[in-house]
Amino acid sequence: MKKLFYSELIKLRTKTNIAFGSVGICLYLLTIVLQTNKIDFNDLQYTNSIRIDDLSISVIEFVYTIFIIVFFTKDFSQKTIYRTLFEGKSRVNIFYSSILFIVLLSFVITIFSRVSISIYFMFKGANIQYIYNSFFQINQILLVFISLYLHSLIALLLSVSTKKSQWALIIFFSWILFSGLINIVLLKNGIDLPNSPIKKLFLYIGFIKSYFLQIIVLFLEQTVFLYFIKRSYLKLSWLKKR
Amino acid sequence: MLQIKQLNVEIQDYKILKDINFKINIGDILGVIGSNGSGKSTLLRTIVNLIPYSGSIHFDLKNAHHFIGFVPEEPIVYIDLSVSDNLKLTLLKQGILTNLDEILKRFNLFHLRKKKARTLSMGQTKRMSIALAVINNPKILLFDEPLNGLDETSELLFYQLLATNPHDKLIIISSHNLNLIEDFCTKLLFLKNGHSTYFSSLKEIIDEYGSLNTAYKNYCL
Repeated sequence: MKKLFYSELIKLRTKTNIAFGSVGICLYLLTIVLQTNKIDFNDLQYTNSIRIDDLSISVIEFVYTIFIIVFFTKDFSQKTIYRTLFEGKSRVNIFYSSILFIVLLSFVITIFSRVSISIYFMFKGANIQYIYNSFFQINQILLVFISLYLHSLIALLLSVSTKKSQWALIIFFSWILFSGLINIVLLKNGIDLPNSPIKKLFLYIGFIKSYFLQIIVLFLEQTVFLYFIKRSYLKLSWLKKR
Repeated sequence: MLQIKQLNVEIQDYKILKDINFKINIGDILGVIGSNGSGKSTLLRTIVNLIPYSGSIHFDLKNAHHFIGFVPEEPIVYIDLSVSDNLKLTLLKQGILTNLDEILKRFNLFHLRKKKARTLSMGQTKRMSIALAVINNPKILLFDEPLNGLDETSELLFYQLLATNPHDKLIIISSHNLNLIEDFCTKLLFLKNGHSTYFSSLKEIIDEYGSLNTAYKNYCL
């Protein structure tokens, strides 16, 4: 599994992936800059809070999900997933290395998002205590990580079940559109869901008040995703339909 | 040794391979012959664990799948990576340390090592695919239509590969090219509509039918 994981890292080093990552970073930084351009950072007190996470993290989630879809469906469109199989790796091994890959990538992007915001705020002259309090809260880091992880699980599930990037992307965009419409309908009816990344992702969790229940629901959701992803990997077969 | 017993492959109630049985040993070169759609590629893909099946495929080797090299008819390579990175990736997955330059030179790929696989011609990609299959010196080698897309020089490279140390390997070649089969194979399996119509040694077939072409017409058409 470790060897397979390293091979995923080699596949990351292509020009296309680097360009994709750079566009994602630029969009993310642009969102932060646009959201904070009217704030005088020198006057900020560490007790104040600026809500910039929702939109900027949404941008990262969006780009990240598209990246995961493109990255994993490429293995199917180029048939290289079969190369891994006939080079002696089992379907279960491929599944575990893919999960390990997205967990670590989600973690790296979470840390990157926190660090880049801090650097930007430091650059703008914000109080160090403020930066620490606002951006290095463990629950916020966890929230971003879990949100990215769940997005990548959805992306992986779409990739392994459709095996075609265009279909996976169409389903993903339809889901984004659907979520947006539901949000609008709820708002019109006077229901304003708290807008954290996870609650935005799974609207109904917004109705669950207990933190403990939210954790259980999230755990169950990821288990369901993992089950279907594993099932798709186990069913992998290079057989043309006749 | 590779022993296949009662091998069946089906998709949506359509049987692609039906009751295939044969046994070959290390040192044998098996030629799989049949017309289009007879199940040659499916048989090779099933042996390398790409297709679910019923029946049994038994290798007399521990962790046999780690010792198989497979060259599919349509080369499968990471087109966004360089030739050298493709080879490194295979080595990394299999945990093998070997001299990469030696392999690149042996397959006339050294001058192309920094080129992206997507920029290679069909013949060069096929050569790379063959290099990827033999890079870990596997005991079992499977070639699906190996000469498709190869120019004369590359064909010669392939013939040299078959001629080098075939006695410690088990090789299976699926091909329409009867000359290739006649020149190198020691055993033959004829397929027709997914059935194995005949399995025997080349010598016995030539003795019985006079030429491979006659046997082909008899068992495959």
